[in-house]
Amino acid sequence: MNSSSAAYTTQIENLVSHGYVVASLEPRPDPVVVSFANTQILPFAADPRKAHDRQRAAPGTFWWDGAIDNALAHEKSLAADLSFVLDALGVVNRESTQDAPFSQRLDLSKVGAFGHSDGGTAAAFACQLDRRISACLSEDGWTPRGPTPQVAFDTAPSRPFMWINLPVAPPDNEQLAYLHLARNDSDGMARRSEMLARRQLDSSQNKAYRVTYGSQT
Amino acid sequence: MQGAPRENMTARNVLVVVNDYMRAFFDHSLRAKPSDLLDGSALSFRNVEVKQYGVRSVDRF
Repeated sequence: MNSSSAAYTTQIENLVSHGYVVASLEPRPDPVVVSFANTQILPFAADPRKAHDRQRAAPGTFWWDGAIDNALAHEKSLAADLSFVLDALGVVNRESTQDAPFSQRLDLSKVGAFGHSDGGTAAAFACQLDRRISACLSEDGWTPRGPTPQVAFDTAPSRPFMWINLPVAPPDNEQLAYLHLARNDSDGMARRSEMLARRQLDSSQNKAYRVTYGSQT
Repeated sequence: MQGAPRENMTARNVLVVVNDYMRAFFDHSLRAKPSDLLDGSALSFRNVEVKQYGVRSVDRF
């Protein structure tokens, strides 16, 4: 989920070569371009929910919460897109047409979701929102409210969950200035996020994994 | 023959890590296949740490 399918090429090839069927979503407006089977082409369009709150905020005000809300709303909409695709796959799987080579061959009782960044958080949301999804993988899906922010009925992963993340260095002074953030606010946000991550993973109702990788030298 | 630039090696290693853990996770969660990557017994990757949380003794498929 999120970005262009091409960004996931090696992962999709890996899964497919081991017998999985992968449906890759390219929901607007994230990919650079979306090409439909009917030859319609939709170019990238800026998501108004991603309008940069920082630019609207007065200097010295804490704008970050609004930006987080916008990002989470976007990620929830990606999770809803995933449910829509599952509905569509269910229809296709029941029919037998030449346009759907996998019809009647999909095991929709074993569905996993994964994505990177926004797509990773969307996968975490999808596991909370749609019980048809049995396992979720978030790749660097980071939010200041933990890797599985509350969306529906709980905050902890209720399905097997994996969070692969690369520890991010604290922002330097230039980045802080750009973000209109004080060092204390930034450090506090990082501490709260880490605390929430541990709490959410620890209270998981199913197995949860955290894979952390450092410098790959 | 010169080796690949360090940046490319790094990116490739990250891809290998992400791919291997992704498939181990889905194989385990969706196909009930055990994985030594997930239980931490594998020593395949340097600089990779795996922590397991939540239910530790019961698999729920």
